[in-house]
Amino acid sequence: MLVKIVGNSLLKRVRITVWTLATLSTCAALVTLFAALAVDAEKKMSGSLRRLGANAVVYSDSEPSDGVTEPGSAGTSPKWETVKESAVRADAGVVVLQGRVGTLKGKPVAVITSDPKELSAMTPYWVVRGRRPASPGEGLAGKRAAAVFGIKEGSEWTIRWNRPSRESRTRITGVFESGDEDEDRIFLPVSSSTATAGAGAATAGMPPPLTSYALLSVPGGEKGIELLAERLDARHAGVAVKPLRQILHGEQKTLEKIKLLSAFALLAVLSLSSLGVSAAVLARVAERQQELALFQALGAKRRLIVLFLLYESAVLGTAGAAAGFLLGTFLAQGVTLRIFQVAVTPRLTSFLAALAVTVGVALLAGGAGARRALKVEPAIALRGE
Amino acid sequence: MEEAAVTFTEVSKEYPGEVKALDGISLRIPRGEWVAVMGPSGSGKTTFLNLLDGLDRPTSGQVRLSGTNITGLAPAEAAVFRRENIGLVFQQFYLIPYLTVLENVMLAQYFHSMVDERQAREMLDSVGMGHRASHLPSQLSGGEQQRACIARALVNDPGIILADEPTGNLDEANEEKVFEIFRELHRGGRTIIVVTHDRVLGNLAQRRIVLNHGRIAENTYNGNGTVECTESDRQPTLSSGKC
Repeated sequence: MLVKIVGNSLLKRVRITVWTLATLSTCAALVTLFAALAVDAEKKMSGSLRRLGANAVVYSDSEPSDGVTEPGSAGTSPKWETVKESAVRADAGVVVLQGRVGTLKGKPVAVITSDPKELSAMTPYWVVRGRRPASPGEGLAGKRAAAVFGIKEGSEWTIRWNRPSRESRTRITGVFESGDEDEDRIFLPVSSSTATAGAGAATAGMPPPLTSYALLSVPGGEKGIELLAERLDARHAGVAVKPLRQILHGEQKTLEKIKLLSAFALLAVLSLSSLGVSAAVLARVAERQQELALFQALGAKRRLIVLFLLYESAVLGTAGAAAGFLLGTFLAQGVTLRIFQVAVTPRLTSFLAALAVTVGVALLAGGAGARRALKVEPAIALRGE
Repeated sequence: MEEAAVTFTEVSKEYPGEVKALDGISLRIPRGEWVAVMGPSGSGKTTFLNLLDGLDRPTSGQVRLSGTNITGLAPAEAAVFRRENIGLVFQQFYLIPYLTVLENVMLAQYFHSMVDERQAREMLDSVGMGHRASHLPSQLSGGEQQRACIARALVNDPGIILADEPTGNLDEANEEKVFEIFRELHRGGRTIIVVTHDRVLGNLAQRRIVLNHGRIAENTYNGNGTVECTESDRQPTLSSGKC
């Protein structure tokens, strides 16, 4: 009978039921959205942050790590193809760079060659005046190198190589600012295969590289980097992986702040939703004071009336949670697609969170409504006063 | 002396900021009696009824129903007592709008003990509403709603029927149907207390109590002029029919 009463009460009071369900569904949708973002946020945001640049550097294990920045003597050839393959498997971004020393206007200059697309993906934070080079014969100069040599975008230059005595003509298409030592260098594009060919391979018009290294953008923070290093070690790639700790620490801090911000936003949203739900449930109860008074007049104990209202709230909460979960998942898809360009997977944990919060809020509001309803004397309610 | 169905002893009811709705009423209603409580608006009729059904409590005095002092009952105990002993009939019917007529009757069974659809249908048949069992209250006329309300009041077989203006919202034809139901209930030995403005209904009752300003102004047995006066001197008289 209780099921019948609650069912009919919900189905035949369409306006107030729809209104209550709408507020509950909104609450559930927001919980689902935030739960989905909280669960996926770290992964997605970490992935997103990975697009902001490298978080590890790979160099030959026979070469001192500071040889990366100051190319010195060539070490044993690392297996760059293996590095790239392992990086791709780990969902990491990678660019292999080769360092040479040439002369420009009679002064030595560090020249780095790499695949232009891979370099672009790994250095999106570079501020480029002009444009990045796209084909052989073009180049990109660091801001400080441009200042030293008087390089302007669009100008043509000849870089001379000492061994063998050759030269490369290059047209500088842009000057970049990176905020680090790369600003002292000139970057020339080569194909990806040329970049990974190793120290012994000569690039058109250039001598063999003095040093090679790779920049990695590994998801999963330090753990991810450690894992990749172990894999490379197992495959005898002949390289060592060094995490760029400052960047990793910065990422972690950023993620923590974003999570904290999300938690505050969720709290605020939940508080507002709870108020909305409470108002709707209280309105529902207030509208039925005579009905509840009649129940008492017919001999229903107060406990049974509270149970009836809580049961009704629980049914509404569950229905609201289900509808809200669908809506929230849809919203979460939209948000993550727009922000992270990745769709989220609907998760049971999100549904359970939405269900727990929505039913909890509905029960609290229903309890408060019952308490208020039972304060009204049935005799007065039935007199319509 | 046979146990009374209802005993009021020095019962007063005062609402905050208002005059006394009932002022020191004492009376005794034997089992099986049909009493009409009459009087002008504001005379205390509804308060009288609410004290009888335990939905309200007197400011002072004692109300006993079937030997139980209901003024001393906690709300939960009063609810149990009400569902076991009292059937309520309302002027506004108070049928639950989203339940069918049958479900409305079964609702009283549900609060009492357990639902019995067959018994509920029989009760509807007894008030001539069997054919409307599956209708919603909004699909019924006022008279039909009142009969459904009476069926709900009777379904748990209460000893006392309390009716508040049962014909107040009915036309003449429907009034007559309700009168007939009450006659039948009275013949069946139930105690019936009806608050009414309706003189016809008042005359149909065995006894007529007229309230005025919260006091019993008239207490008359229809037909033989017997009067039991309990208003001011608390001494019954058997003469004029007036206190």
